[in-house]
Amino acid sequence: VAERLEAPDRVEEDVARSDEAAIVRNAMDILPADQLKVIELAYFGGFTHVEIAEMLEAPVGTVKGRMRLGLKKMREVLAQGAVG
Amino acid sequence: MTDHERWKDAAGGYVLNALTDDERTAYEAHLATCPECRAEVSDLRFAADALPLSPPPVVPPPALKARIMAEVEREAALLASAAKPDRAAAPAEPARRRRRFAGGAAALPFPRASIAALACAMLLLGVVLGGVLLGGGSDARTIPFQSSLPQAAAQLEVSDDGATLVAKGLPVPPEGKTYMVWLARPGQAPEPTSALFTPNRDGSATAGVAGDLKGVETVLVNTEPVGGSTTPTSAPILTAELT
Repeated sequence: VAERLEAPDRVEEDVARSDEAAIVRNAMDILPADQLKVIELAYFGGFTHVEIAEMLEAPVGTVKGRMRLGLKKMREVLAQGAVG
Repeated sequence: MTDHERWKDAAGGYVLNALTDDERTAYEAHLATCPECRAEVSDLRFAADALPLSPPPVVPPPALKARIMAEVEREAALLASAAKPDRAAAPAEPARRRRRFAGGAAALPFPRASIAALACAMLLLGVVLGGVLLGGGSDARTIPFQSSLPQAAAQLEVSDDGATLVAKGLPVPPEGKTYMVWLARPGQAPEPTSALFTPNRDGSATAGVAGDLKGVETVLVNTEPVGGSTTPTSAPILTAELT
């Protein structure tokens, strides 16, 4: 019985999660490619900004700036989408 | 330059955990004295916290990441040795610590941009692989290889964070040759993998096999010229049936 009661909740949870996921992905897709790239390399790749700057042959300051601007833009889009 | 100007752009790297250790320590000291930066950090953290919700990238588990970086470095070493045939026999280096990756790459005689592209491709591969493996749950299994050499034996360990070939009794390949792993799907030519290896002196060998094993019917190992081939040029020595 416990399992049967649990199941519908889980489906709702899954739906909510995939909605959230779509909103976040949408916010990421809006970013300019160079900003998204440094964020993905840092977050999903675990590289430091120094390593990313080396890989992209860009100044460290530029990489930092792109991370900051990209996250800032994502935050604005997410705030509009009212996640959470 | 004031302290604040110096740190103005660091908030993004900080919430992405992309600052070097020294910088993070220094930045945290600055944060303690700067309400403006603290506000920005909490702003940007809102966005950074949402990243793990995004599909399809799944954060690769640490072990997988280490494997990807080892793979990237090995590919880089192969490319470098291909560019300089006279030192083609340079052994594939084991994974070094991540911090040294950028420095090591810079010393190689080809554009760093290609390493970046390679890193991105491998990362994507890892993400896809991670997604497949994490999504598939725990299905760790060991598959024996059939060997055409009576003295050699090998098995493929397929686990949550990738597949590993473990062999023993393998002869040293002929000069200028290396062992190479191939993935065969039904009705298709075997696909090359980046798994190239030579056995240790005692004939034992371990090789990580990166790539999507979904739909793969047979894992093959043969000998190829150092640097690998795009289509097999010799008969398989080891064969494992996955299905």
